[in-house]
Amino acid sequence: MQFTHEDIAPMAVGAAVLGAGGGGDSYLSEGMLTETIKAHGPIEILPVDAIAPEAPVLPVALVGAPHVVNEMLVGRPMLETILAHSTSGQGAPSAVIALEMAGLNALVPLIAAGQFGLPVVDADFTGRGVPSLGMTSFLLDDHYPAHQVLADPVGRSVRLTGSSDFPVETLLRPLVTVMGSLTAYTMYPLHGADLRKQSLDGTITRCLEVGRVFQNLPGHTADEVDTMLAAIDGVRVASGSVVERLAQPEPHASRVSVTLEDEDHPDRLTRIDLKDEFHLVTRDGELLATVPDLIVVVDNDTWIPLTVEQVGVGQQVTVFALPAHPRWRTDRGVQLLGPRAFGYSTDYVPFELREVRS
Amino acid sequence: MSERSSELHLGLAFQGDRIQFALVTTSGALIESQLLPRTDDFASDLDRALRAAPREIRAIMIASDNLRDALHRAPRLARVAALRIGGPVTTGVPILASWPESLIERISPVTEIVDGAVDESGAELAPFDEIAAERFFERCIGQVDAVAISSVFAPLAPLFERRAAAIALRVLGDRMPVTMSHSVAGFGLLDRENAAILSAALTPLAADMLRAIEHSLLEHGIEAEVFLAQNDGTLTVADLAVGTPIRLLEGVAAAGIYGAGLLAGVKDALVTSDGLARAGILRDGFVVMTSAPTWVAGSRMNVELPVGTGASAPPHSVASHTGARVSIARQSSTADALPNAEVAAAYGLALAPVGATAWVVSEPDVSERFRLLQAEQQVIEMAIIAGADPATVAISDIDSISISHSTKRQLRIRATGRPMFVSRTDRSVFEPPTSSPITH
Repeated sequence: MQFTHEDIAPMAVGAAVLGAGGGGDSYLSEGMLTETIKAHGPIEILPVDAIAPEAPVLPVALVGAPHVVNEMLVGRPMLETILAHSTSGQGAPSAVIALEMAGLNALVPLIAAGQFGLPVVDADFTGRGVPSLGMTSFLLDDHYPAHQVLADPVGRSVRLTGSSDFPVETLLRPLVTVMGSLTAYTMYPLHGADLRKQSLDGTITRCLEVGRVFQNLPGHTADEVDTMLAAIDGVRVASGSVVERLAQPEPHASRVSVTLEDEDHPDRLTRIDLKDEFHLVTRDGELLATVPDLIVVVDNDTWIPLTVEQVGVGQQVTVFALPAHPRWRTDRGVQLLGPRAFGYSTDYVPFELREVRS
Repeated sequence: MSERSSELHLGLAFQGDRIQFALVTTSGALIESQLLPRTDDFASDLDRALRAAPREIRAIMIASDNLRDALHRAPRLARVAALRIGGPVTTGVPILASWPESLIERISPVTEIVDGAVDESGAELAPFDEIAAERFFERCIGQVDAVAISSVFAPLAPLFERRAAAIALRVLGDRMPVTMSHSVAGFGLLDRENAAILSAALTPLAADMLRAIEHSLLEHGIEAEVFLAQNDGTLTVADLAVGTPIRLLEGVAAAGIYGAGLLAGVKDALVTSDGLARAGILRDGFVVMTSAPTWVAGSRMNVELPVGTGASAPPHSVASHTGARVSIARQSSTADALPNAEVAAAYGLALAPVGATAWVVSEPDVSERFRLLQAEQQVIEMAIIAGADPATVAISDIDSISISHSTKRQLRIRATGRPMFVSRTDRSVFEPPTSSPITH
C-alpha cells in the first residue's frame, strides 16, 4: 500500500480519534507530513509479514509534553539522531514502525520514514493513546528491546542500556523533562521476528478506516451516525453541553472531570473523568465506557476529536466509545490499562455490554 | 478621578446592515438609542452617527464586523512578510502549513524561517540569526504592506520577536505595521503564528478605521476617548487596538452578548439572536470563550472567540443550567424578549470594562506564588495601558488549564477596569497606528 497525499487527512483524523483525548494535536504533524510527501513522494506501507524476521526495524515516537511540541514542532535533528543510534546499534533499519498509533505519534513515524526513504510497518505497540510509553505491548509481554534512546530538538541524546527491568515511565519522564520536555524516542534491537510476536497488527489500516468514518460523520442524523460507527465497532454513548470542568487540587491537579448536560434529559448529567486521556464516562452512576476502550469526545460544531485540554465549558460535544485492541481487553491488558490502573475503584466492563441510551 | 456617574458614553455597533447607536450614562441609563442604516463606507457611516451625538460625550465605544468580513470576503488583504524565528527545531512545519491556497493568494506572503529558539524555561537553544532576519526584510522591501513575526515560546520569552521587530522597522521603515505573535495569542507556535499573519493582513484596514475615527472626532469637535471592543467583549483604547485587529474580529458579537446580559440584569445567560443564527453565553458577567482552536477563513489559530459565534447551532442547554435565556432578536419565540434588545451591542459597548489578558505557564514550585503575582501585576499594567482607570483595575478572572504530561498549568489572566478619559490635548493626536503592539 502506498500512503499518499490523500491519506493524510483521514490519517490525522483517525490519529486524533485513537488518541482518545491524548497523543497531542495531530494537526501539527499533518502540515509536516504534507511537506514530507511533497518533497519525497508517497510512503510505502508494509504488512508485518513483509518484514524479514532478521531485518532491523526503527520504532519512532515523540515523548514530551504537548504544549512543548506545540511550540517546538518537530525538526529533523532529533529524528536523525535516533536513526544514527539505531543504525550503529543494529544496522540500517529496513522499515520504521510507530510505537503509539495516536495523535502526533501516529504521524511522526510516517514523516521520519518519508525523510529517510524507508517504508512503514502497518502496526504499532499500543493501538491507542497511552499516558506513558511504558504502557505498550512490550509491557504485556514483559519483554523490551535492550536499548532506549532519547534525542532532544537540537540533537543531544541519551541512551539507556539494559533497561528492560526498569519501570520505563519512572526512568524516562524525568530525563525528558530535563531535556526540555520534547524528545524523539526509539528502542533497539527490534527485528521483524519481534514484530510478529509483539506488535499490534494492522493499526495504520485501522487508523485510516476510523479516520474516514469520522471525516464523514458531519451532516448526518444520529441514526446514520450510529450505523456508520457500527462499521468500526463504535457506539455513541452521550452528548450534551459542557457545563462544568472541575480540576482537582494539588497534587492531583491534572485529574479532571467534565460534566455534560443533555438538552433532552436535563436531569441526567453525564460525567467524563480524564487525565492525559479520557478514562471513564458515567451517567447517573452508571458506567458507560472505561479504559482501555477508547473514549472519544468530538466538538459538535466541527466534528473534530478534542484533546483533553480542549474540552471547555459551553462546548456542545458528542462522546463515542471504540473498542481497544483485543490484547488490551485481556485480564493482563485490563490490569495494566484498565480503570484500576488509573486509580478508579471500578472494574472494566466492555462498553458494548452496557445498555446504550441516547 | 472625578465621580463619573453623570458621564456620557456612546456605544456604536456596526453590524450587518445597521448601526446601533446608544447614548448611555455610566450608571447605566439609556438616554437615547437609534438604529441607523449602514453603507460599505465606515468613515461616512461613523460621520453620520457622530452627527447625532452630543459633544459632551466622554468616551465612544465602537465595534464593527468589517474586519471579520474582510477576512472572509475581501478579494485582497495586506501583503504580509512572515518571519519565524524557529530554526533549526521547527523547520519540519513550514509557515502557512495547511492554509487554503485562496487565502494564501490574498495575502501574497513572503516567508522565511531563521535560526533562533528557546526551550520551555526560556533558555536559549539556538541563537537568533539577526543577519538572516535583516536579509529577509531587505528582500521584502517594496513587496509587503505588513510584517508578522513569530518565535518559539514567545509568550514567555518575547525577546527574539522584539529584536526582529526592531530590525523590520529599521529596514522597512518605522511606518511599517509589525505584528509580534506574542501580542496576539498564547501558546502553540503554529496557531499563534497563523493568528499573527492574519492579524498583520488586516492592519492597514484597521489603521484606516482609526484614521476615520480621528478625522470624524476632529470634524465634530468631539473630545472623547475612543475604545474598540475585543473578542471577549472588553475594550481597548483604539490606537492600541488597531495594532492587533485579529483580536477585534468578533467584538460586535461579544458586545451583543454582554449587552443582552446587562439589559436583562443577569450575569449568567444564554443569549440568542435572529432566528438563533448567532448566540453566545454569558457566565459570571463575562462572555464565554472557546477553549479549542478556532478557524477563520480556513486557517487555524488560537485566538479565543466567543462560544457560539461560529457557523453552528447555538448551545441550547446551557440556558437551563444558567437560569436565564435572553434574546437580542427583534422577535423571538423561544426567549424572553428584552426591551431595547435591538441596541444590545451598543448598550453593552457603552458599559463594557477595559480588559487585558495574558497567558502564563505556571509550575507548582516554591516561587509559583511570586511568579503569579508578577504576572498579575503585568496584566494590570497592560489593562492600564489599554485605557483602564488605574484606580479601578483589578484581576477579574484567572482560568487554569492543566497541561497533560506535565506538572505545569497554563493560566489565562484577565484584568479589567473602568474606561478612563484622557484629554486629547494630553496626547499626540493623529499619530498613525504603525505601532508594534506592546501588550498581549
